This record gives sequence, C-alpha cells and structure tokens, in this order.
Amino acid sequence: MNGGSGARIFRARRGTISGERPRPTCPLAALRVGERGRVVRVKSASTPLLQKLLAMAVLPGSEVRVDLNFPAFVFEVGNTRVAVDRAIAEQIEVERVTCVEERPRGVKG
Amino acid sequence: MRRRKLAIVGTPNVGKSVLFNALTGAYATVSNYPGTTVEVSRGLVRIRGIPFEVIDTPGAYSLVPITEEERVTLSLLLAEDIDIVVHVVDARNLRRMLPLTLQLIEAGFPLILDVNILDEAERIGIRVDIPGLERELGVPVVGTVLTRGLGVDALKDRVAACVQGISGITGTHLKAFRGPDRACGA
Amino acid sequence: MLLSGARDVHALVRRTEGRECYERIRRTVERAASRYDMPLSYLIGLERQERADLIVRRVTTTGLRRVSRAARALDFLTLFPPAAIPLLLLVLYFGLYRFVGVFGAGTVVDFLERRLFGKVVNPVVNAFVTRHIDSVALRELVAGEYGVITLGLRYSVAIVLPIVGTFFLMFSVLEDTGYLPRLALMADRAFKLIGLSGRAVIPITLGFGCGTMATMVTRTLETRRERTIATVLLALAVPCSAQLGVILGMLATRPRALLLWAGVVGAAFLAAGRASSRFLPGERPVFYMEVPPLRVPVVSNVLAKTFTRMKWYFVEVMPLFMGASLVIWIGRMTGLFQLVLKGLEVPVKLIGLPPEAAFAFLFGFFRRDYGAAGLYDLARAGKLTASQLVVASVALTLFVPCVAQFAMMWKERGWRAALAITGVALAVAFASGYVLNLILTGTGALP
Repeated sequence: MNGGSGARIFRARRGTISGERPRPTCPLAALRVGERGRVVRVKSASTPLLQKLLAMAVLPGSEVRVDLNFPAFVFEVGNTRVAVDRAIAEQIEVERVTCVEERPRGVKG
Repeated sequence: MRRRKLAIVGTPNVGKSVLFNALTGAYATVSNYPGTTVEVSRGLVRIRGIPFEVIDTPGAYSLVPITEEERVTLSLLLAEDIDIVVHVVDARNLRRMLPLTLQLIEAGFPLILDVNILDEAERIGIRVDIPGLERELGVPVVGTVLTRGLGVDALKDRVAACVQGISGITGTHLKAFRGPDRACGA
Repeated sequence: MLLSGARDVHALVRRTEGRECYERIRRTVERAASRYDMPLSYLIGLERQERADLIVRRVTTTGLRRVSRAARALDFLTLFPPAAIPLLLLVLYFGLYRFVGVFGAGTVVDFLERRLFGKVVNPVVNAFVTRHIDSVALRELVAGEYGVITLGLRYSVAIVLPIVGTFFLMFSVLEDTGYLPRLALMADRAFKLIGLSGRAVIPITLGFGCGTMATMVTRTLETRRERTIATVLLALAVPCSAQLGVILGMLATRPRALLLWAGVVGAAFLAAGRASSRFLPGERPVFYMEVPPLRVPVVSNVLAKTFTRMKWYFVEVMPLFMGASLVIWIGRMTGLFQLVLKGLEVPVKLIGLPPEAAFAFLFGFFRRDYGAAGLYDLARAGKLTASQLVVASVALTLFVPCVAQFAMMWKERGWRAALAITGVALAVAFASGYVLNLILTGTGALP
C-alpha cells in the first residue's frame, strides 16, 4: 500500500459527480480508493450470494464509494459499509461516477 | 380466552431481544430449534389482558432463507399458527429493512411494524414520518426507542387492537398483495 | 414466495394444495424462470427493493450526515492496514491470549482448581465417599482421581467456566464496539491461504486458549466446509493454553528445540489447512460482512450477552465433561486402558521415545495437563534427550487434543468426522514424530 492512498481514505470526501455520459463498466475491484461507482449488475452464479448482497443493499443502481482495497474491499453504499473479498469485488460490475487523479494503485493481490 | 401467538421478526441487532424482554419480563424459556443450533426464546405473557405466547425468532434478512437462522425463522412462521408478527426495524437503515416488511405483507402475515432506534436516527439527521409510513404500507406502524422503553405501551395497544381486529387502518397501495382474510385489522 | 424458490414453501404448497395443483404451479414457475438469466428470487428482490426505496424516499427526511473527527480517526486505526494490522495483533495478543489464555485459563483456573477443588471440594467428596460407600467401583465413579464430581465437575467448573467467561466477556466487548467485522476483514487474506475466510480468526485464536470452546465457536463460520477445516486445524495443529504452558516451560531452556517445535507445528498447521481446503469438496470460502460504525460498548449490553452465552455454553459443555469421566471410569474398570496403553507403546517406541511416554499420551487425552506434565516429569527425571523432547512435544501437540474436544467434535461435526479427524491426527502425529526422529538422530542436530 503506498502512502498516498492511505491519506486519501480518510480525507474529507466531497467528490463531485461528473457528467452523466455513459462510461464503460468495470469490476468494483478495479476502482481506486476514494472512487465512486454505480452498480450496473452483479455477476454471480451463486443465488445465496446475490441475496446476501441484495440484503446489504448492493444492487443495480446503488452508488458505492470504495474506502479500502486491501486486504479486503470496503465500500460504502447508502448508510451502510460493506466488506467483501476480491473474488466478490470482481463480480460486482460498476460504472465509474467520479474520477480521481491517476495514481499508482494500492497493493494488489 | 385462546392464547395468541406473537412472533418478533427482524435482522440481527435491531432490538428484537430488547422488545422480547420488554414484553415478557423474566418468564422466558430458551431452547434450540429442533435439529439445529439456533436458539429460539419463548415467553408467556398477558398483553392488555389477552394471553400471548411471544416468540423471539432468530435474526433474518429475508424470508428466502440463506442462513440457518433464516431457515428456522421461516419454518417457525410457516409451521406455527402465528396470530401476529411484529417486525422490528432500525430507523437508520429503513431502506435495507423494508424489503422484509414487504415480504411479510406479501406472504399475508398480520403485521405490525416497529421502527426502532429513532433516537440515534434523529442524531444522524434521519426523521421518519410514522403515520406516512403507515399509510404507504397499510399496516400499523409504531415508533420506538426500545433501549429506553419508549413506545412499548403504544406497541402493546396496537398488538391488542390488532388481534381483536380493530386496528383501524385502511387504504394501502399494497392491498393487492394481501390475503384479505388474514390482513391485520383490515 | 414460491417464485423465490424456498424449499419449505414448496413443501407447504404441496401439502395444502394437493399434488396435482402443486405440479401445475411448479411448471408455471419453471416457465417463468426460464425467461430470465438471473434467478427469479433475485429479480423479485430487486423489484421489492425498488418499492422499498420509493417508500423510504417518501417518508424519511435525511439531514446532512457528518462524520466526526473521532470516527475518522478510529476508521484510520482499524481499516488502514499499516495501522490496523498492528492493532489487530495487539487486540489478539492482549484480548484473547493475555486475558483469556493467561488470565482466564491460567490465573483463574489455577485458583479455582487448586484452591476450591484441590483443597475444599475434592477432599470433602473423597472423605464422604470413603466413609459412606463400600463398593470401590462406585466410589471411583463419583470421586477419586477421575470421578464424575472430582474430575467431571471440577473440569467444567474450574477449567471451562473461567475460559468461557473471560472469552465471552472479551468477545461481547469486541462485538458491541463493532470491531469484530474489521478484525475479520483484516485477517481475511491470511485465512484464505488455508481455505478459511476472515471470520475464522475468532475460533482459531480462541483455540490457543481452549480447543473445546473453539470447536464450538466454529459454528459462526459460514459454510460446513469452513467449519470442518477449522475443526481439523484446531484438533491437529493448534495447541491449547495448557499444552502450550507446559511445552513452553519444558523447552524454554533450549531455544533451538523450541524453535524447531514451533517450526514443525507451524508447518503442520499450514499443510493441514492447504490439504483440507484442497481435498474437501465444496466451494471456496467467500467473505462478505457489514462493517458497522464503531461505538463505545454499552456495559449492560456486554454483561447481558456474556451472561446468556456463558449460561448456554456451560449447559452444553458440562455434560461432555461428566460423560468423559464416565468413559474413563469404564475404561479403568474393564482394563481397557491397560490394553490401549500397551498398544500405544508400539508407535511411541517407533518415534524413539521410552515406553513410559505412552502413559503421557494416553492420559494427555483425558487430562490435558497430565499429558504434557507427564512429559515434563520424564524430562526432569533425565529420561529424555533434547531430540526426544522435541519429538515428544511435536507428537503430543499434533496428537488428538483432549476428550472434551473430541466429544465436541462429535457433537458439532458428527461421529464420522470426529473419528476421521482423530484418526488423521493420530497418523500425522506419529508420522511426523517418526520422520523428525529419523532426521534428528541421523544428523545429530540436537544432542
């Protein structure tokens, strides 16, 4: 984990929502710390997992913001904070809503 | 008078057991649900003179069961002749809790919604329009702060009124989903 | 409900609506399901959520949410790995190891066992039965070294209760503050290596305190597969506080032997985790958890939770210990033990230990302090060389833990799994002892 992303996690966040033009989608796992995304769909073959994510309000249309990407993914959705492992984060497809400046990624695994 | 069965339903940590204790006092038995390691508490009590068996179900997020707890809750609701269900929700997280309320209404259970933890919700700036919610759902809704015992009396009144079929709630935009015969006080 | 595919509901509909009608409904549901590429239950769930969102928007007003400075600092401490991982280690060390393992399983147990039972209860019971019961067999059933009261009750009150109590006090505090999910997510990566998810951090760490309790706590794990892997690890390669205490005491003066022991047991832990996650059927563990905000624990909450849990677990564990002393009684009365002892001498000699060590292994199974302490006595009497000591410590650590843990495995995982795990632990313990002995005597690494 590089020093920069650590500071970014806990900085006061007042991200602006950029223009609404369609953006390519990517897995939630590809979002950087501090970045926002809108869930497009959850690609999972496991019904229990789908239900569980649904129960935690991780569903198409929800906006998420990534707080942490190592050792697990932690993101905020509404008033709730959810932690998932990388395998699940790969299955949640999002479109980026905000852009943060390009920086090297935190530790990936 | 026939003993009625009241089931307390809700996700973990919304105050189900607090409500259970508030209703039953010390007279409770805890046992494992047959064939599982899941605990179910039961207590006998009179509410406004009507004898009740109060059942505290294991934490459940949904009526479509994933965990062992949810399976037990579903079997309990299906197998026992439940006269009334009290769904306890966290006012801070209504968005995540209401789907279960809707499921319970769809399934035709006579339901009272208990919006709990109103104090902490208010502290973080969330206000819930209880009468409005009652109109939207078409079931009795009670706001409580169970940790301080606030709203328990109102809840008891609603429970008693409900099993006697005089809740006085009409008009609901979910009416199509409710079995009119079992709808609480409709 | 039916569309969502809950099995109970299917059964109910079949019962109440009659078979023919049910079949018609089932076919309709299947037709509906085939039109979508996602499970129906999920789509219905999405729909329901949308309606809930609509209602919530109409009836709630949300003010500005401010994140306090303290909350942000705590988030930093518990979520940012360079700060959170040291914190995690501190919590595990002080909270679980020092408080539960050393204070609960050490200080309090010593007090209750030595003072209360050693000086008061046991002498009184023993005196009572000697005076009033003539039959030696009956006397031994209730009192004596392994009686239902003198061993069974003593074990469950003096040894298990303090561990359960301190553990659940700690656990309730961690739970009430909301720290538990953060602990689990920090540990998730490491536990994935051995086929477990971050949730396993609690039972595994607890295993260093009391394996019996830890085996019971594996209930909190998500899938049966994870529960089995954790149970295997706890039975095989996680020494409980009693074993740890005596083994550390025995090897403390020989740093190289201690290092060797830790290395071999650690390797066995990793190997067992990898192997069982590889060969057990089922899906790989997934980790998801809600991370609630941290808060100051509410004392009454913590105490109430601790008390309910202690009561419940105590009621479940106590019969196991009573049962164990009954088994010992039968074993001793029928001469079965002598037979098993003779049988154990074979593998014990095979791993290069004196036959007396068999006694330590057998009774180590019944009284965990006896096993390691038996070795301790042998070592002090100068009957073990340094290499024998390492071999014996390794074999004893990997060896089946204790009769209560065995009973708990039986209870939680079923008799087949309990016997299989015990068999594997036996085989692994003596196999690694054998290999280690060959290497040590072959190379002369330890005199």
